[in-house]
Amino acid sequence: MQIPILATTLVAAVSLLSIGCSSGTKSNEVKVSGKVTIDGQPIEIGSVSFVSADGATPTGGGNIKDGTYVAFVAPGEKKVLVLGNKLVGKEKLYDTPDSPTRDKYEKVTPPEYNAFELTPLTASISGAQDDLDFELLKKVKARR
Amino acid sequence: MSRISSTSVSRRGFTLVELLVVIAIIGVLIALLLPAVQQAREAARRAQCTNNMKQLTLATHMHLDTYPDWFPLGAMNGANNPTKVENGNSYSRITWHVLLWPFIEQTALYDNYDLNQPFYATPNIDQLRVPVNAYYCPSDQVGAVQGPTADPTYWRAMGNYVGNMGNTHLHQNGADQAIFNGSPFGVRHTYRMSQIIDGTSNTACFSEIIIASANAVNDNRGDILNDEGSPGFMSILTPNSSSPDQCRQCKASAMDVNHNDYRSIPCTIAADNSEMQIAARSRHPGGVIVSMCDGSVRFVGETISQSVWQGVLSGRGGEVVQLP
Repeated sequence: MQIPILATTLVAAVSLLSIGCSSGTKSNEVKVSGKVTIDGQPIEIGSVSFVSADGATPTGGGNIKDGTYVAFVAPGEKKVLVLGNKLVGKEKLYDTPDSPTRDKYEKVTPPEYNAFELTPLTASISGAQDDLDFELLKKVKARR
Repeated sequence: MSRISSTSVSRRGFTLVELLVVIAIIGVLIALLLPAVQQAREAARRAQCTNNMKQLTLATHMHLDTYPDWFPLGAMNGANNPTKVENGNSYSRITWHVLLWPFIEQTALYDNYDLNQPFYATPNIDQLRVPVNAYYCPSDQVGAVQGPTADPTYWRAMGNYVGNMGNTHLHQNGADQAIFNGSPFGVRHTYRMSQIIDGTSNTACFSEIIIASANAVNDNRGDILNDEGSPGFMSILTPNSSSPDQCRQCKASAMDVNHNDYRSIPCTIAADNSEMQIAARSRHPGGVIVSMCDGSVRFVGETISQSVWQGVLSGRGGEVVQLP
């Protein structure tokens, strides 16, 4: 009866090994959240992107909804890009009389906040955080 | 009769132990093989996707031979159509897929297309409803269209392949102009092969995106035949980034942080095209397929660093980068 025991141990060991081979999570991204305002007003809809300042990690980020955002970011020094919009009505898809329509939004953030070279916002991410707030200004002073 | 029974004295069978050992060995082999079989299916789809992208890049090379040194126009947007661009031709609203038709053996479609009319006008829209195989990555939704239910007048085929539009946004705003580092494709602009001074083997040509919403007209990703849909991809967001694409239209589930779609195709609204940006995304585990301007095709992992990705997409950035 020694060999069946040996065989079963072998089978058990191999199946345990193959369980260990299943894929893990995508990366070392941590959860970061907070509030985003422009001139004190919460941003209705938009996104926050954390672009690596030294280019060493992939870009992470997340959506803004009603003034708060949740993002997943790899730790490191970041330049922060913010895009904010508000809903203003409907617009046509094509230049024809019977064109279907879509929601029309209006941008509330200056383009400098959405350009890597110009954004004045930076962040240093070392771990999960839930109070990383960004206060934007309509009259932005671009970094140059 | 009696002879047979007398000779079969030492007939030997398998013992239970031996049988168990054999079964155990077979079990182990199957356990090793099974995951490989499952992966083989995805590997086959990936190979076909790679091939599609290779064909598109070769078609681009034929375009470069036919119209000496010019890449096809990435896209033409709506203002003052038809507009003359650098290569001397005039275009109305269009994307590069149409301009590559003659080179992927879709001459019939091209012959019936009127370049002076926008893509949504007759007879053009009828040509855009043909779901050409070369539009689709088999790992995503082959044959996806917007469909007559969603839009009876203007529906068209969708697709996965997008052109490299560089390191800024779909349309460059004022803030972008200063930092634009060149690309093979652009909106309202055509570029020459000789303008890719980083070298054709170091500059991306095509990559892929995920079709966000088949049988609907509520999301730009996958609307490859519309200049305002998704003709290109840009490098601000790395492949499969957790940071959302910025589109004119996003389907609700792609904006909902609690929805499954948000994890694969996150999206947020961009109020105008100068803020639109779209990341390369795919259903292949771990990364996206990218073709380079010299015709080689690579698999790029989603953990690629921002600086390498930006260097690969720029045509004249002068970055010293090599795809891993």
